[in-house]
Amino acid sequence: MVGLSVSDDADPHRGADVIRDRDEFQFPPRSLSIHLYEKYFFESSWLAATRESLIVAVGAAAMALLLGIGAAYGIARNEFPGRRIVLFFLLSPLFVPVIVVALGLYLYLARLGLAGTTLGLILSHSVLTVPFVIMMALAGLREVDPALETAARIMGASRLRVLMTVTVPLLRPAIVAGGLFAFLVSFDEVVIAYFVTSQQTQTLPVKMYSSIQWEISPVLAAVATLLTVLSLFVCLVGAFTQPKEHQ
Amino acid sequence: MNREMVALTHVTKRYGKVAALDIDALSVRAGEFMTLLGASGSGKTTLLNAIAGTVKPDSGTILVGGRDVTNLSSAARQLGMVFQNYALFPHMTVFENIAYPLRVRRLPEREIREKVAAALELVRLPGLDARRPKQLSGGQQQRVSIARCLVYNPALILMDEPLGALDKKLREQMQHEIKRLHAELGMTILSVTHDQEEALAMSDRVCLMHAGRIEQIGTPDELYFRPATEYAADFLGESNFLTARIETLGPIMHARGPVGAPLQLQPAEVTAGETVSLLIRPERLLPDSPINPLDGTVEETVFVGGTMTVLPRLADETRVKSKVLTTGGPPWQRGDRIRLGFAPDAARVFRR
Repeated sequence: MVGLSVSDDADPHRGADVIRDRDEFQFPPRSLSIHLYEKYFFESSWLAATRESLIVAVGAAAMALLLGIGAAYGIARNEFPGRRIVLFFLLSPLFVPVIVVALGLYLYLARLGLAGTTLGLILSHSVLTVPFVIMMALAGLREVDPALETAARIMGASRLRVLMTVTVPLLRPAIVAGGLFAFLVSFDEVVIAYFVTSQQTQTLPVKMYSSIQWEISPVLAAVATLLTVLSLFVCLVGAFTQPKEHQ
Repeated sequence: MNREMVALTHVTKRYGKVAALDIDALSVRAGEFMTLLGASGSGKTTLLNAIAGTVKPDSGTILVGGRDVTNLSSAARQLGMVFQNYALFPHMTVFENIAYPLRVRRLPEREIREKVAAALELVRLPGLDARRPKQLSGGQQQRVSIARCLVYNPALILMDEPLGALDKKLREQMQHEIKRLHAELGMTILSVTHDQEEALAMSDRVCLMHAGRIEQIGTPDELYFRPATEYAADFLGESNFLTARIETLGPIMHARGPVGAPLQLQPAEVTAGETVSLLIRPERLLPDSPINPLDGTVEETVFVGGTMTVLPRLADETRVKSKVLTTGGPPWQRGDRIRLGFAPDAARVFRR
């Protein structure tokens, strides 16, 4: 599994002018090595991009959980005029082409003075991740009997206590899944990030994109492998933290 | 103890154009077991929810224990509620479920353990503290939910169809259990049901509801034998309705019944010449009765063991029902001619 898709050897059949230690893409690999992974882990620009991506993804997931669960709770547990319209509005980033969202966010963040900042990107990604959390929390809330909340209220619990001791614990599977999903959506996102980041706040996908344009470095292959493994790992964590169905 | 535990005045609630609740006055005495009985849509659940604080009435006042709770939240009303589907928290153990209201009240841990153990003892479920609700049977779950209610000693306990999800045998067992707890602990219970047998068996008083209003309030005995309205008579138990015309008033009223039969009735507030409805319970409309004869032909019979239901059609096409004790003798059969009758005190007279 390690580095199957890459090789740091030049292909002698391609011609003699290939410099010996120049890296290039080749499949199937002619020899195996962890050389490209070393390059990734020791090159500060790759690590900085990874760090930025993690910060943004965690931030965007946290924002999405905070806003999404609150919004889903309000929508699921109350009857008010325009409920469907509010829901449609909150989910609309899913229907609008990402490039349009990205352009809009770029202009808006520039005006706020947040363009090129980490906070700006977290907020931008939240636009995209909130709808996912809302959908998962709505599905989760359908499984939580409102009578449980009523029962807790009648026993004297405050609204906040009911939320923290009854609703949130019962929503945990939806919260875990929604949070992981939001994390992956943000970690993987390139279009919005490309628009609103600067050289200093480049995320990993943006860095990959520019590296394929300017360097054609096979480190990309190592990064891609690592990303796939990370996504798989996150999905597995998600799958194993879901409660087993009783009966 | 003749204190009022619940008092409602002029409580109304509308959903769109439908009057879901329209109560002039309702009073539940302290220590009483009252059941709100009615068909679905009669307003009984809306009334319970208005007292619980989960439905806000459009007008009127609600007092609980002498305190005006009309504008208080459910949490501030300090009452208990038992739900049809138990509403146990699935993510907590039995112990944690019962401890929940005590933790809300910030009792010390030692006291919580003692009270939970005592509550489990009361509902006869000791030793199940560590189980999850899903590992219990329906009857056990309902006992836990009752224990969770008793543990903090609310003066008023509301029950929303508490036995609705249980099968017949378990239901009867839980009826006894709840009555026992009520007798032992003396709290006020206001229960909702659509099951008339349950209402009659458990309650000190029954409040029969119909179309958002109170049709009649009384002891089970009063409701069954002295229904105030035709609706009440029809809703509780089985009934025969016969049309009759009053002829003479007096200590014994004379009337002309269906098929022109002369009838003797107990005095009622009617005028001579008036057409009335007579309610007669099937167990009091019996064959071979010496007075108030009604002739007919048996159309169908249903043998149910100790009793037998005979369904004759009177000469004027009125179908009636008679419930007779079985003796082992030759049973009634389809096509038999039959003469039914009833004692004057068996008929209840309703004005039309």
